[in-house]
Amino acid sequence: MNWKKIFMGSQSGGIFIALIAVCVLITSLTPRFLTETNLLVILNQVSVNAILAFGVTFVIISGGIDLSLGSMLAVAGVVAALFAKSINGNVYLALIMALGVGALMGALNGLTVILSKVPPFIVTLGTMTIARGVALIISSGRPVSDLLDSFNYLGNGDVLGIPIPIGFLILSYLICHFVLTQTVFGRYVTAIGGNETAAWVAGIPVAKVKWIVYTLSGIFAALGGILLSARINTGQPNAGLGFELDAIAAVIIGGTSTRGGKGSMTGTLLGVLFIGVINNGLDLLNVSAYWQQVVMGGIIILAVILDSVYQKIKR
Amino acid sequence: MEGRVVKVEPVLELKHVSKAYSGTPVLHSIDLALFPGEIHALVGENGAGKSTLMKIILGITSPDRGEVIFFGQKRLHENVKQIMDAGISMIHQELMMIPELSVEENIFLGREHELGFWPWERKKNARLKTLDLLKENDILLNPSTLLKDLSIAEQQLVEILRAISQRAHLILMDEPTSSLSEKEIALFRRLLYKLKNEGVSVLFTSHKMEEIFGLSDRISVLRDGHLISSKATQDCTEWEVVQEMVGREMNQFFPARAYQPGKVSLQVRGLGHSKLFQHIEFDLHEGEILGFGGLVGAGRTEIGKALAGLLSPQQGEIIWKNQLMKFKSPQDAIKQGIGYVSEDRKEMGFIPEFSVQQNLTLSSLIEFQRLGLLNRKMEESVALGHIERLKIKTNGPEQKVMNLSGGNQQKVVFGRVLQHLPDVLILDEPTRGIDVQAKFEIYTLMVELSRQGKSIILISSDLPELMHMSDRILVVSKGKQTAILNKDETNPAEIMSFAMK
Repeated sequence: MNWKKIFMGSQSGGIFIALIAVCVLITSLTPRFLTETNLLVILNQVSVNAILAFGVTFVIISGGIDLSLGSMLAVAGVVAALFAKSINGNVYLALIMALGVGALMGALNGLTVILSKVPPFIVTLGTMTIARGVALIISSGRPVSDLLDSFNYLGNGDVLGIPIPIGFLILSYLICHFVLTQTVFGRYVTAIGGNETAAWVAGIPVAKVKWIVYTLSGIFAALGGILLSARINTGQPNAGLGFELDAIAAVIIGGTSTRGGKGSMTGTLLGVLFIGVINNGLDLLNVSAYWQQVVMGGIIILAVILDSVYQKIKR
Repeated sequence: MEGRVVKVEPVLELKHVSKAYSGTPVLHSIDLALFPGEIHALVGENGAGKSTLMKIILGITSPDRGEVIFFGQKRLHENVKQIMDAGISMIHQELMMIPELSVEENIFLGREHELGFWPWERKKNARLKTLDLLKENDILLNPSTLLKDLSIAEQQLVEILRAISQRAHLILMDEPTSSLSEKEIALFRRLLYKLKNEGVSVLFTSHKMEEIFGLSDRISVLRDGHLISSKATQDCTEWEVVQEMVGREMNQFFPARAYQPGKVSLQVRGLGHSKLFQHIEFDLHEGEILGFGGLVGAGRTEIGKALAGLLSPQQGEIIWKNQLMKFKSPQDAIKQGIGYVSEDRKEMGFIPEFSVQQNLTLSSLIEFQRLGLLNRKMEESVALGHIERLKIKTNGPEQKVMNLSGGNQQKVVFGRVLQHLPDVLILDEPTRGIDVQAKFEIYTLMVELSRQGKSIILISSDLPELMHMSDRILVVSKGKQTAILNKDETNPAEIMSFAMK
């Protein structure tokens, strides 16, 4: 990774500086921040949000939006739990079914957006409610608990000393960054967000690409759902309420344009870390949970303002 | 002005006006005078300094040296609002009005306080004053129509009415007719003469020679920030003006070409689409340039779109490579070797945030893939090739296309289309709104492509361009094909008569 490129990079420069500034500030206020254990706690805490955010970055860059992330996460989390019950459960089947359901929901989102020409904001607002209902129906409104140890290990265990959720975070980042910047598909996604009509005229299969983009968003939401269910050893139909907003906030803070056409996975990663570090810092400083929300909202707005100022100066 | 020497004070005078942006001079000691009732054409290639000059007159930027004298008084540090109040208005290339507001609301936008205090009072006065304005200028419009429901030409008329209602003495217009049809230009012309008779001066920029010569009293040519000449229109020839703009000898404005009809490449039989066009039928030959003539809105653009897969025809056949073609999308047409350059460059031509390189490779990106990865090196070398061949003026392949001039953006679009190696090219108004030099280069490219045996369909509203570049001209009127004329056996009058049929 080229430091200069990140620092002065196309979109991530401002948020990178802001993240460093916040880290320095919190370190100066409490010695408990800059410890190996705490940093691992932060990464573990942000892993689900990060995975959702990577998926939805594709959607936002393509000029769309996906508000159904949190509900899709809940459906996939419940499905995973139902197939991973300690009696008759199978962890592989649970994973396949959960990811499959995520892909299916995402694909339906995409198909509706493409065929109906209704703005994705409205479509996914609708599917957000539908999916939440589905999560409640298949779980009969109750948490699905008593799960296989091998399933719970996914949320709490580690491989080669790295906690598994953090491993998934890193892996997801690398794959998404690679796909966005190095493949034809990534270029197409960005082109469609930049000028959809021109992209279509240039011969890009716009509908197909958009369909894949929403499907990816569903798959990543499902992965988030699996990790969350595994971490709390339960499939919660109410899990992930409002998660879509955290994920979208991280993407925007990371410099991805809300109108589409430009953005980066590195920016999204920095945006996720920014939110995670502030949450963690406020916890360490014993700020009340009520005030945390006020401070968080203010900081998000401030970060975006600072970034736009920074982008102007850079030009 | 019929050779009369009238001693009148100029409305506006520029004396030794110079301007540089970050050390690069864009205007060199310009002296220019505008007289009451004068229609003054400001011409020059893109980057010649026209827009900077207009910005200085409007007070958006101030000159580094020199004076701006308005009605005999030297103008000092004033802001745009003050200058507009003093009687200088600007009509922009891209309309600066609010589509969701009505005609009368737009005319008095920002000046509602002049109409009275109470909202109902304002409403009543706006209506009355707008009706007066419309009547005075013989324009038939409903004051309560929303702007978005008007044609571009009517919107432009509203903008001119706004300038008039501000009691402007000088109106600046940037490419005022670039989006008007022939008929609308006539209306525009009438309004312009009316302004002239009332003593209002107009300074306009344009790329269209007929218009520059048809409308103006005086032509000033800018080149690289120098005022090359400023002469009464009747003392100039089109040829001189072009030479002065380009600054060097051009043997011919249109490159010479010899055409021998090749084999038939594309056959179109009875093509139709609801009300847009019907019974279109022609054979296109290898190496041929077939012009599509007719009025704006006659259906030429839609026929082009149908051939390029942007629109599905409802009747008829497109036969290509001895096969019946059914294009469901531009992608299908591109795969079959049909290239398309759209009329609407900004909307359909390129991705503004993408670099020159990314735009050039966009239609053939699959070929830049190695083991699923994009090969940037290969992309770059191909892009550099196009930049050199098409003479694209850019800082490098990494520059964003949105930061290029219109002519260079168009060349990037051409490069993207050529990169997917089409055998048939459909070019819709390929030289609209681009400077003379770029136009010439695009004509040269077309000649070269036809020599390679590629077939070209040229849709153009520019009659000289259509006459010189095409081998045959298919004329469309109200969606119907009225004639196919051989270039050597026809004349502009005949083309126009078929276009109006």
